[in-house]
Amino acid sequence: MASPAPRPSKADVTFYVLLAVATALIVGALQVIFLRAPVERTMGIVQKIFYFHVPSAYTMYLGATACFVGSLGYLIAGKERWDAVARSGAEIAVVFGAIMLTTGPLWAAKAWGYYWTWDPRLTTALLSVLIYVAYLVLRAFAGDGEGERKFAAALGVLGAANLPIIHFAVKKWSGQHPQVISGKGGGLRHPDMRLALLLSFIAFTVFAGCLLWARVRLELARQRLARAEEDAIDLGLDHRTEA
Amino acid sequence: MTTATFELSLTQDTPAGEGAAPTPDERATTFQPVEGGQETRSGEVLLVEAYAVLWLILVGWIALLWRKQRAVHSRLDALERELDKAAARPRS
Repeated sequence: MASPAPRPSKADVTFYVLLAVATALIVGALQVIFLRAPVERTMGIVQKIFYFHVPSAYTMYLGATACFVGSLGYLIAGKERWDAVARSGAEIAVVFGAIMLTTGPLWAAKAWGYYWTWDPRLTTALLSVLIYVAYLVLRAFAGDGEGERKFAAALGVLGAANLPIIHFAVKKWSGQHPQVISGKGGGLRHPDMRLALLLSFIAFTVFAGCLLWARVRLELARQRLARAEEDAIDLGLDHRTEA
Repeated sequence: MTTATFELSLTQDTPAGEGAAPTPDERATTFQPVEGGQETRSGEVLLVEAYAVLWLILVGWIALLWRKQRAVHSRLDALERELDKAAARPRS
């Protein structure tokens, strides 16, 4: 007879609650973005890309920060769970960096008349995403030994050095990228525009938290399985299925 | 209704007589935009494209996670089979 399904733990319940909150926030943000926030005067409806382009960039920062913290933790403590956080953070950074790098040019096609220019912020953002792509390529193809993990952790720590450069690139080297939030201009003039951006920020943060959690959990399960396989080999069970 | 036209001309002179054909040089350097002309890119289409890209990337990544989870499960199944086989073997 099959054993009954285990009761959900506190972590499971918290995860499902977070996922429900993220879903509600995404729906609320979409409602405000498309049905309440006014259309911008000069750019028109294409300005609404801003409400998920900026939170995507911010979520990329969150993923990169998780990668930095995990890498640093692994270098200091040497525990596998830190490595799992770093790897998962790098994936989040690449996924949301890809969203940022595709939604931005679609906005620019209308606002600037071309998709891409080698503006300081665009260039440094692209460089940052490429660093995390390199991190994931390294993890995928360089094996999973102690040395490879430490090398990847060093890359995760050094890769974070580019993050403040992205942020300050606009101030330091000027360029064309708008500074609506951090600039000294008028910012978002309408309260519904501000509400749309705020809701998007919160929705992306909670959603990214759920994704990071799920990804870390999967990575920890993979690590435990790898250890169990090694134990099985030590016991003379030499059949190992590599996925 | 009057249609305003703006001449962005790099040449100083216009053709002298009415009906006179412009010279090839004038045709190459004169642009006359018409007010209310068609936009080259639709903001609505760009917005839909950006929104579609957002979800496509997220769905693609979640599909990749599903694949990784499936790989973990298949390795776990193989390990369980080996453990069952080992348990069934007579102990020496």
